[in-house]
Amino acid sequence: MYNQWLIILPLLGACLLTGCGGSTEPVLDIKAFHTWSVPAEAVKIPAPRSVTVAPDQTVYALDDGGRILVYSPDGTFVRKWFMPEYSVGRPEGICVLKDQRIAVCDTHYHRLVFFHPDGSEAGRFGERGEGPGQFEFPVAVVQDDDQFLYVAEYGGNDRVQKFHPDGTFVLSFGSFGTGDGQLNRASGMVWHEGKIYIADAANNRVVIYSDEGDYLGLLNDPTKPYALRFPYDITMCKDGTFIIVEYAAGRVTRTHLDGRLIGRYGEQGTGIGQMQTPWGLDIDDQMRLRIADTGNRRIVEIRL
Amino acid sequence: MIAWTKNIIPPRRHDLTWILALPLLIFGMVYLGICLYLDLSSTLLFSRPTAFWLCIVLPWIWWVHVQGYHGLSRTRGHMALFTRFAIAGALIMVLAEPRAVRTSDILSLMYVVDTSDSISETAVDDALKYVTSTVTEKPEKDQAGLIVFGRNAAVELPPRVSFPFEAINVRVTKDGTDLAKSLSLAEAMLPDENQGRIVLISDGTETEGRVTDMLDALKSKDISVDVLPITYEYQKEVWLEKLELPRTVKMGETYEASIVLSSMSDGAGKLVLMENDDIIFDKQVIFKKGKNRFTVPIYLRQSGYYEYTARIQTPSGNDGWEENNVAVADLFLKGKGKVLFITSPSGDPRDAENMITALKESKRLVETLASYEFPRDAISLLPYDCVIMANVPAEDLDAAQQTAIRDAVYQQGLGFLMVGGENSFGPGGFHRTPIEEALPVSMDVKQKKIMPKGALAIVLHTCEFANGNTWGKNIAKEAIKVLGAQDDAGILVYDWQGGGNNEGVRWLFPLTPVSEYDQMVPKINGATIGDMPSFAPTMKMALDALKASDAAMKHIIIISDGDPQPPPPGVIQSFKDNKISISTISIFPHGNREQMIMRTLANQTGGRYYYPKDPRQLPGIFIKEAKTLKRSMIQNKVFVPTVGFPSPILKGVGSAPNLHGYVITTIKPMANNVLNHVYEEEDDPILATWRFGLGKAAAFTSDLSVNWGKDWTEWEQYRAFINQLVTDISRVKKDSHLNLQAYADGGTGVIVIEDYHTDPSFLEFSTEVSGPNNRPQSVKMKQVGPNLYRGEFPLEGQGRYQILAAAAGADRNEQIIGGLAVPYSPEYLRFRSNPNSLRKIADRTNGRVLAGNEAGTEIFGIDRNPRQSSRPIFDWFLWSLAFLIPIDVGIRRIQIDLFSIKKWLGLNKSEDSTATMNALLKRKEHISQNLDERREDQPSRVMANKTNRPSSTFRPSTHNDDTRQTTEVDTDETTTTGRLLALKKKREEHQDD
Repeated sequence: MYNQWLIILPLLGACLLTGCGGSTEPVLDIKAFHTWSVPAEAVKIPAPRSVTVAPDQTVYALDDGGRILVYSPDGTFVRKWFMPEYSVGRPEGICVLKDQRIAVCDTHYHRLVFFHPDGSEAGRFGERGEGPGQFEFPVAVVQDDDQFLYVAEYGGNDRVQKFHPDGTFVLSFGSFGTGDGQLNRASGMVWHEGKIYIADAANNRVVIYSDEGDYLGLLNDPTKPYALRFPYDITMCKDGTFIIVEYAAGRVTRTHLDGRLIGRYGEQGTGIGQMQTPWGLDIDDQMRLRIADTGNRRIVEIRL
Repeated sequence: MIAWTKNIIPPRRHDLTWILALPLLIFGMVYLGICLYLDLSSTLLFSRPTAFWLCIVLPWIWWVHVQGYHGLSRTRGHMALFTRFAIAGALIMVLAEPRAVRTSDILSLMYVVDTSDSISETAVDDALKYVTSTVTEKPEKDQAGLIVFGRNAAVELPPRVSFPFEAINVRVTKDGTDLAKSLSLAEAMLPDENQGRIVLISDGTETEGRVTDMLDALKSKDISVDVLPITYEYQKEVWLEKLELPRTVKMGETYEASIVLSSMSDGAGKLVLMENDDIIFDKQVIFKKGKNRFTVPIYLRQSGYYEYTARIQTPSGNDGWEENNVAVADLFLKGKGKVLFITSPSGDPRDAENMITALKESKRLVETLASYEFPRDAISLLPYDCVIMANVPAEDLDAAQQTAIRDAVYQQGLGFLMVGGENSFGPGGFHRTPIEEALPVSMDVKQKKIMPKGALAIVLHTCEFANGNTWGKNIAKEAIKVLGAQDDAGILVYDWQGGGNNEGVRWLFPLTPVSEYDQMVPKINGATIGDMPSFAPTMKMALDALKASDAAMKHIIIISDGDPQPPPPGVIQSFKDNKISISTISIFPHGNREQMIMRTLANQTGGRYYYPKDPRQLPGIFIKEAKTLKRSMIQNKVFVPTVGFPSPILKGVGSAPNLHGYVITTIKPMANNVLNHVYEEEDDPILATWRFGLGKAAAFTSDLSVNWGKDWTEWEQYRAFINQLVTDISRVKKDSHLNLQAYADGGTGVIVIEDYHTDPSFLEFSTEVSGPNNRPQSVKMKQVGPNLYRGEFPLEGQGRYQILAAAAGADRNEQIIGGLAVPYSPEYLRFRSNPNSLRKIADRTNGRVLAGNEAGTEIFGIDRNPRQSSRPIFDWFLWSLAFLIPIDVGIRRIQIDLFSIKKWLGLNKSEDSTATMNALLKRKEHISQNLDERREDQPSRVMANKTNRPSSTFRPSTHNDDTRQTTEVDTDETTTTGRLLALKKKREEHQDD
């Protein structure tokens, strides 16, 4: 009697699974997609690389013109200031600290530079080297609730170092490579409840460490694994979900805390709803996601 | 005929009522209402609305349905009728050619920036600043693009929502201004579906085309042109118009050079005249407004080619353009021909030493020039009878120098000899070069079975310096050109559009035989080269491809700034394991770390590391790298060359001694293989000659020095051999009675030829000019006086022009060679901008004249005129027809038995559970019983009907009695079938009446 279902159900299942030829991955629901211009610098329109949102919702962006750009929450450009030096190379990571200072990974000068919100320099630490407290291409910085700083490096000396707020070295973890716990261009990080989630870009994965340096595994869904294509940055929403930006795919991926995929949005391109080699991202309390759309020389705001 | 009509339009069978007509009225109103709404609301556009007259078929469909015999229940009948209406409606819409309309209030704007020579670099920068500052304030959905132009126009950025501008990367010819071409390109780039606008930033001067012809086309497409004039006016301008030299000169006599200087005001300056880079006149001169002529004595001590350059230097602020302060002219004093040796600065002086000695001992005039001193135009080679290159690599000569040699041989009859060595022929990088064209041998050795195959993968990372990606592309082309046809080459790029599973890395083209070079070039030219985040995926792809290749030598070249993530050790080990070397080239690295990464990559895999400080060094590096695959073309072996084609070169020299090596080449079909070496049943050319145009060229694939030719240098016939070889190929001088002069007159070149022959007969000239763009053009010469001929040709801008005129007539065949140097672009003869022409462009196209201080909101904040665009969508209706037709057939022909479907699916567990089915079965049983009873009750009536049947329809039956009885019952009017048959019969009788 039920033999017919043996034929019908697999057919229906196959149709559902393939979606009749379409993508099987869920699309992230968004409310709006807007773009903000990056102001020109002489004849060039610099490319934004990293963004961060301050507690007062002010948006700070780094670009490859060596500038820190300040935007109001509605995307109005407010002001800018330049890095102390930028002829050798341009900075790549920015983070607003608990004390309102802005920490910038001055990547090609192998140091961290701190600014007050008005743009005046508030200090710096770090020097070139592979030892504790030294840097080779610092690329991302985050702060935990206890105000410890975590700085990721790349360029063959890939690791994460933990510092006291005054710059005193605490510990380091990770090494260059493709194995478990190893890093291959750790270009973005987020701290959450004692864990560091690291966008391990060239290994196409998000690595999880405890903030004491213990390797805990990967952020993914073991039952339904999904691919990441050069994840360049990761941020956390107020509801405890992650958003990852993928440089090579031109999209953002939202996951649950345990790694299960919620949905994806975007594709490579120059139009509305598209991004081109997006680099950094951050989200505010009102679920306004800001992405450095590097290839398109603009900042994308996606309202979730 | 009547019956046919009745079949199409059935006669009325029922009384017509409104109820019957209701489906037609409902559908007609809804259908036409929808169509009207779609059209009026601009949702759809019908290109052929007259097709809606076909709606008259709807009443016919209805009539056929109502008056026909569909035999369907009421509900199914209505469904069938509406389905047919829908089919007819869809068909009518298809015939009406529907188009989906899209309304857009998006503005697409093209910035068009003049970068011709008359616009200073500062002005171009200001224009670009204006572009970037305004474009960053545009509404987010508006599109912007950028075109730069001069004599031609090119798209830097197509119109898009984003505007990722860093620097001008496209190249345009700057020695002219073609406003029409630039606006035409801008118009073509603007999408039809959006409102279009152009912002033209120019000085308004026009040297090519007619912009007025373009304006009507722009206006017809409702494209306005806003203009931003770049204004300048030089009140004080000094320029050199020409440098006049004597037409005929003799050795040892004094002549005058006349310099014509023009000025817009009185003034003074230092006038300098140089002869072949030596200053022969340097004095302060005073000049007046208008034309001034200054004469300088010149004295020619020896034969040869003389180039004179005059230059006026004025005090600061007294002159506008500096570029037009120069004039150039040349003359050629005939004399005894010389032999010119080209030497390599990095080469071994002994390569040519013995040959030079031998030629000097043969009383020949010999000159040596280092490759960087070698002329870049063919005219300069007139004083030489023969040019010899001994073991000089291709990278020592640029494209202009190589072209000069080829042209001088082909057009002027120069002799040319390439002597071998490890840096000559194929290993020297001469494959696919102008020099190879001139030689009697080809570097392509695909027929040589002994040649191992090479495979080269090039990795192009974005080069963040001006024109960086264009450089990268040109270098890659040059490197591939060096390879042989049997070698494989492929290019890997990081492309954000690449997709796939390779993290954005893709093959621009995979390892492909270089014989398909012509197909590779367009792919390289059109490549998008992105910022690669990591070396590893690229290197893995290259590794996989090279491992799969059957090539004997495998190599990778990576050009990068070194900032991608370095590859893990395992990847490098794989390269070492597979003996694949990597050479790396650092371009503007951020620091020592990046250099170290690049150097390590090269060192660990056995490749080489380069850090050129100047991008101009890149072509040479790439060629050198590609040449590493060509080393196998060198044969180090001892052999005695065998004599092939008889030649005067070998006259009286007897048998030649051993040679110790040579370079493998392939003899060209028309060439003479004078000496060769038979190896594995193939003739490898050792000495080959051929005629190339007016000249003769030779290739000696071994060397004539102490290396491979050490036995030859001690050979007693060495000097005779060298002398006879040079004599055989050297230029053959012929007396000519013609004199050629050429000069520039604005944008036109003028050729004047005088004939000094005693016979004043008319001569027919065939004249060809080759300009700086290497595009030969024929010039028609007209006789303008006794023994005087004149021709004109359009100049292609700054550069050198070579003229070859062949005269025929009155039993004479003579040739004359001349040249013309245009020292500066005609753009530098424009001393004021022309804002009026720009205003006219704005007026004619309803554009604005911009002041240069507008905000982006003003540029983009124009009144929007939403633009409608449409696209055909008849396919939508074809799809609907494809669905509706089976539905129509299904409604009429298929009775869906839900009971059976449920039963088949197993949902109807109890067969008795359906009350309807049971009722039907009982009803069927009851009717069957009734029929049997009736048959038994009416036998006589059946028989009576039987006897009434026409005899002609009677046929003896083979059926049994029961069957016959059942058949005859059909005519019983008490049954439905019987009634139908009777009705049919009655209607047929009525028709017959």
